[in-house]
Amino acid sequence: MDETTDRGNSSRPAGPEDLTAVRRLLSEPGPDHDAVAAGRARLMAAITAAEPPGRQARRRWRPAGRPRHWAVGSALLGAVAASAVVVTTLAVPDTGALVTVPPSAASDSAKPGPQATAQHILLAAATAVTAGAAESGTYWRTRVVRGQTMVSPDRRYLLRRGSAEEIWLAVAPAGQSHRIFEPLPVQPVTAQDVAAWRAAGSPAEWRYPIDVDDFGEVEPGEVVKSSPSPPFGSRLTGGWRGSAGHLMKRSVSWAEARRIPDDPQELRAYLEARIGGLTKKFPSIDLEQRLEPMVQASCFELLAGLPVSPQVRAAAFRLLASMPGMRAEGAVTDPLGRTGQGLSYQLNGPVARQRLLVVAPDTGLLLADQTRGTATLADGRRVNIGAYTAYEQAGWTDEEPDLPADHD
Amino acid sequence: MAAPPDAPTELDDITIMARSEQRPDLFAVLYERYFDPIHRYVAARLGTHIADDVAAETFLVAFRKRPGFDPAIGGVRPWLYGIATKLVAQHHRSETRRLAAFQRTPVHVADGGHEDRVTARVTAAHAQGRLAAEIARLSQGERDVLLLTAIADLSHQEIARTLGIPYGTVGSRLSRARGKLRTALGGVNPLIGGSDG
Repeated sequence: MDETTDRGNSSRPAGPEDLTAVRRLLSEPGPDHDAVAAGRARLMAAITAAEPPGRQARRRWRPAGRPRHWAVGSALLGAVAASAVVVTTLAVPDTGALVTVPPSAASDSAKPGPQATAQHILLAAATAVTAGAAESGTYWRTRVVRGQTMVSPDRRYLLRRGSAEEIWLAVAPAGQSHRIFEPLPVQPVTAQDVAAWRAAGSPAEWRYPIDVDDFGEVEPGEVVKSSPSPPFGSRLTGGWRGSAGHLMKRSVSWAEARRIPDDPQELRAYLEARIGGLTKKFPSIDLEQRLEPMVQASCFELLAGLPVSPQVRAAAFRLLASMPGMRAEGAVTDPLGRTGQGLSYQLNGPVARQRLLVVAPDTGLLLADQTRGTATLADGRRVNIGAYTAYEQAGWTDEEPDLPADHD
Repeated sequence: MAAPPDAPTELDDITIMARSEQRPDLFAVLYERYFDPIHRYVAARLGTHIADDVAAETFLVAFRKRPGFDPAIGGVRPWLYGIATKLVAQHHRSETRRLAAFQRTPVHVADGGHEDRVTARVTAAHAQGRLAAEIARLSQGERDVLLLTAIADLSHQEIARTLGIPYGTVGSRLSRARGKLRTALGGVNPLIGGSDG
């Protein structure tokens, strides 16, 4: 008879009868796999976001001089990219993969003009994204940099601190996926910032005043310095097995990633269904109010790092263009020093916040998502300060990861 | 994910807490260790759906508050249950609704079973309703102690740490709570399936 079967942990001693009765009445089966994975994803996001910034890697795990080939949207860092103005396409002999180095940085991201509307920029990005790029490889690899940008204490240049997370997802069912975490050095953002930093004597330590109101996310009186710590990695297991990434807090299988619709309307229906699945699990989410922001957020997730076809990425841009609420803010430099078009939007949560999405309309790349703080440097230059997530790389590769020494 | 590198089995909770200052990713090991029991505890109080969210939130709060963790006061497990209990308190209405639902749960007399059995089930359902009603009537503090004992299996010592109350208070709350439950169940308790009924 059901009532006499212990619903709880059978290894637990029966204990006093009244407590047993309470246990029988209230016990529920443990969490299902999705709930465990969703909770884990939330925690991992917090862990990654909270990695103490400003720690310098003692050694770069990437062997110097070894070229890295990215099949989609490779945008080189900072000053290097700032001088690249042409799209270079070349074949890589050892892998056969097509490598595109787009000029996403400097280039003419300002092409649509400062007067362009958010819709113009998003549609331009949709058109650009459909052009070329390899669509398969051994791994889908993404590299995301998270951290803060802040004005130097002497107000002469912009600094960034943060950490990079690189994820290598193996496509083959038997393949091993990896996560490599790399604390990054505190450094000036653009070539201009580098020059100003050098002129100031290339300091490696920055002492902030008590009043830090318009410096960015620094503590009053904080001393920002480099305290090197090496990168470390781990094998991805559990919910990551067979995962092509996450969309609305749930893992997406490779098969499902290929099935995501590439028509804006169908894509919307697909995302809404997925969001509906999420809200069923979290009844506290008010779908009436949250649906639009969540559709928007899931488009960002698609664009930022899921292995979907260029057509799906284009559809995501078109879907975003069809939604109200984004405003063009003109050309901006992202936290990695790349130039793009800024689109402001409201992030609804417990506290509504203004965010800035940085898009490169000429390549169809989503560059960064950041808080919308601005500050003025001593020379009058306006800069963005605050927390950021920069999507540095996302693409297919046939390479194998260079695993850091500290790896499980 | 990724139980991080040097972690899982060999590091104890306190060591993980200490090292997670430098290596925040180690904190994920605590998730693997305690998500399931914390979820079960929260689910017993708020139901599975809300527990999915609240249990996850427990670890986010714990992660943020980890600098404030003091091993001198107690272990990681009671600390986590303490955070979960605070979050549960924010969902007081859901807990009340859940207990109310037990009081009106219809009795399933599906298969035209033996009449004795049907009677036994009806009686059991009534006892269940009385028990749920009595749990709902307990004070928040009594309910916390009762369920940390019955569901989470914490010792008095651990509950004192979990709730930040004196050891003696745990005992007195628990005996008050259990006294009320026994009265509600009367001497007859088909839920327990004992021979006294």
